[in-house]
Amino acid sequence: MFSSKLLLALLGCLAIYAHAEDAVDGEILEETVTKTDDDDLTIGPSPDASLSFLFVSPPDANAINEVHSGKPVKFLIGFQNRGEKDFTVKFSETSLRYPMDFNYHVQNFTRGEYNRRVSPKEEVTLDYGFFAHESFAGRSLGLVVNLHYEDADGKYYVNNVYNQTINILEDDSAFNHETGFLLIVLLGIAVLILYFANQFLSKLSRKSGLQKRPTQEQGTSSAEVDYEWIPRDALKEKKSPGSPRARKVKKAE
Amino acid sequence: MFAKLALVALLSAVAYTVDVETQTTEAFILAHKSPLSLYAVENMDLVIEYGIYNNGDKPAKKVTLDDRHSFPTQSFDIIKGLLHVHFESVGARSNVTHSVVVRPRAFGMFNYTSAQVSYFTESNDLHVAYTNTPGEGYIYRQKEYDRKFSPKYIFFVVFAIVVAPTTLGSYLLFLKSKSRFEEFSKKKSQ
Repeated sequence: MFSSKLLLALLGCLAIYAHAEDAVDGEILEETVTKTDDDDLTIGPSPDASLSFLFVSPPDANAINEVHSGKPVKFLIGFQNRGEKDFTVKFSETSLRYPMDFNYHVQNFTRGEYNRRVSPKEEVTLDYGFFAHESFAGRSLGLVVNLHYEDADGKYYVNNVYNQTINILEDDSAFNHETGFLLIVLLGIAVLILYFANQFLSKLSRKSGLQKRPTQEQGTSSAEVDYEWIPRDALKEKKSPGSPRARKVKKAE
Repeated sequence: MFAKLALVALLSAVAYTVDVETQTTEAFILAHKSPLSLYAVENMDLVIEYGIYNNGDKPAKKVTLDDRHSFPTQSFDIIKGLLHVHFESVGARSNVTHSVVVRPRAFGMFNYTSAQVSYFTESNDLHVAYTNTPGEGYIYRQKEYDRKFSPKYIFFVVFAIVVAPTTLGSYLLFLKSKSRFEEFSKKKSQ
């Protein structure tokens, strides 16, 4: 009798223990649920928002996913409120990702702050632009554009509007100033070399000419100078002041 | 059982088509407003460009662009173009641009707000869209702008006067003596 009572008590204890354990399990479950709610990765788009994405410059980027480095890349995001509550578009975040692993951020761009309220049945266009750096030329990178917004109740949404690999091409259309100036400098150096070479060669040839046909300095004899080609007043002016050279000539005469 | 399955299949098919229709086919207008001029200066032309892009697969009808409220006449003169334009339709995946020349009357900060675009989709639903907001921009004082960018003709004139004695004077002297020799040689040859 006593033993059967003991058994019952033991069973009761076990049952209570099991119940307590269940309660603990439940708590843990609740905790995990709240954790996933807080996690950013689980925040998704709102079913009441309809979004659209369009490249404005370069315009062919919509079809072929190619942009040029060093040139502005501009795009528009259309936001359509199809629900009954107001939405507030907070900001867009744009980033370039490693194409093999989109979790690896190559470059994060400044986020475009909008803070615009979109009433029900209204639409808003948002714009953003960036430059792909020249060092990315010739590479393909993942472009990810996320739009963050919240509704009137403060519920937060993140909507991915663009998530594709784009080719970044080298911009060869524009004039490169660096090479341009280099070309001008090289041209100048070439001209200088030509000039000095010409000078040197002519000197050499003149030397050889001198050896062949030496001319003698004869000075100015009064008979050979054609004074008729000099205006008379200029001659007078030269003769009238008693410059030492003129005196010398006079003396010699 | 079979009837139930068929019903489920039919419903899902309908839901799918409705979903596809709302996501891709209707006209979706994206509109942007941006200044083309680098600087906004008082009493000088400022060019504003509007672009209307239809990113849907169906044309948008009766597209109206209205930006009359963002350029109040006490602070802006409209030089060329209309701030209220109407396009009968914008085709699928195509765009129109419109530009307006305005002239600010006063300097200072100005908040460029969004323009309103309204359009009808193929199923005659009225949509009201707003462009992006260019945001706050500074309208330069004309004096400030001139100090930075004007051609400065007076400076060049003063400079020319200052350097005239050394350049023009010596050139005149040279001409004088040259003409004397030329006249003399002409007389001789005749």
